[in-house]
Amino acid sequence: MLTPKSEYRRKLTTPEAAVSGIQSGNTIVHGLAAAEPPALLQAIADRVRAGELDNLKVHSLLPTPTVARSLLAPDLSDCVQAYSWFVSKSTRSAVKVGLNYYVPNHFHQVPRLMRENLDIDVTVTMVSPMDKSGFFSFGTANDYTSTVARCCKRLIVEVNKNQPRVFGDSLLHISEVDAIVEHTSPLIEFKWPGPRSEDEFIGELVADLVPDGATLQLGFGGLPNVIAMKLVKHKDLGVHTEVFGPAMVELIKKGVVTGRRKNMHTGKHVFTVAEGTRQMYRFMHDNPSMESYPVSYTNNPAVIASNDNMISINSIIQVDLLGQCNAESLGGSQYSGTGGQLDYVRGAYNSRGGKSILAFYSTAKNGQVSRVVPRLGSGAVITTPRMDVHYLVTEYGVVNLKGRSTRDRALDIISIAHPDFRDSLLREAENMYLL
Amino acid sequence: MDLAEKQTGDVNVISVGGRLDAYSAAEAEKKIDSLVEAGRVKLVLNLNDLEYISSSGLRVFLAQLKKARKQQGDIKLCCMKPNIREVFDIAGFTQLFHIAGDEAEAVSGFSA
Repeated sequence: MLTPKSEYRRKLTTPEAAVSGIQSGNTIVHGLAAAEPPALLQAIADRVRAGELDNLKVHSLLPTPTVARSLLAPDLSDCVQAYSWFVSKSTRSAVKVGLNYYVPNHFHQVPRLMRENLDIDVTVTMVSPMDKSGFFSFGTANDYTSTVARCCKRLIVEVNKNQPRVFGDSLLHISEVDAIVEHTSPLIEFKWPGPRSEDEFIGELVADLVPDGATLQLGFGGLPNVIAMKLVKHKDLGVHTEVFGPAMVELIKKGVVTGRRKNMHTGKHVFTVAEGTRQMYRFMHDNPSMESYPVSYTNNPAVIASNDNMISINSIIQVDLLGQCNAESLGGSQYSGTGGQLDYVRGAYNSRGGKSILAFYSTAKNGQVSRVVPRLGSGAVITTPRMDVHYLVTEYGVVNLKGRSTRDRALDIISIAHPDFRDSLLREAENMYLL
Repeated sequence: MDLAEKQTGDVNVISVGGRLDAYSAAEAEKKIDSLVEAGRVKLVLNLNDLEYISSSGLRVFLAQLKKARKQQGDIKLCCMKPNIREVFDIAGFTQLFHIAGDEAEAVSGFSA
């Protein structure tokens, strides 16, 4: 009988040998963000560059420079059909000119969409080292990765000792793995620009909406992190989130986030993907309070709504006078993605005592452009429909659109626009017969 | 899409005009490929009259570039309009191709 150790030794190979079975036309899915496996991606890219592989279909979500510089490099774009399930800075340009295709989705549906719609030949991802019982951990990327690892024809894992071992439903047994490579490199880190002057006001307004004992979901980016810093005087907050980030670590260390008043997963910090700094990854490692689950669970609106006092905090690019929010397109091009925004907006909206908060700066381009617009422009995408919008926050105030009429919501939204644009927005609202 | 071909010494110059998109990419590919297959691997693509290029067009250029280079040849581009240049910039293709300001410069690039 094979022991985990002997099975590990039997499956351990080089990156080149591990990817040697990949054939032209194969569909490949790789682990998300910090779980992108650099050695395996480079080994596949080397084969493409050598002319051994053509017509690969590669699926990414929030691709980082690791995959953008290897398998999704511009010189391979004649041999690789690239699909992004959430567009990132690394591949935004390629998406803009049609060399990378965005796949619209709600994040909680991605495991199901990939399982049912893709015939996945190979999954490659990074995992934490195996324990004595033969289990790896998906670490920073549970999301869809744990699903595609189990519905592909061949699973290749890259063991990296820097990948944190986390708990929850994050374990992968050696018997499920086809090939193993070892490669130690620092995990990719995610950092955001420093705070803007408006962040101070927005952070305080949002913090006032969060009751003690609430369970938090914080979006991805600079503003949600600043908002987290304004919560330092709160008590017994909990975490049930899509993305676990460095700001949450600070709140845990300060004793603000304890999870003690959570009615689900009491005392545990629940997430599906982690994006942060080296210090954050170290904090997560072997920490029994860190529980990761597939995104089909963490982002399921019904599961989210089962958390009492669920507060979701996300950001948007613009909102129109009907209350329709665009969080993903800019200038008619796909800028990011729907991600889990609507999952959490709907979950928090339906939670007992819950609130969904969409925060944004009132202007863009140094105050020249209002982010509150009469109507979303041509090519703009509605990420959160008006029926779902709950709280909107800018540096000029807070409005609650739940159950408000078209007239009332137009006036509410204008009240938090930049003062320089309010008169023209009022005129437009009249022209639209909203007032 | 319009394609016109001429020869300058051992360099073949193909002028590509109009729209190079999903509908016309196969025709462009066939033309360039026939030259490369025949060993005519010193190619200049004059894009002066090219009005639009899609991802299909970009992929044809890249695939043929690789094929030509495999045979110690090259495909040099010239006379790009600003909107075409912008697409190449966004796609990261300006680093892959030698791009000349005019046809003479592109042709002389082969003797450098």
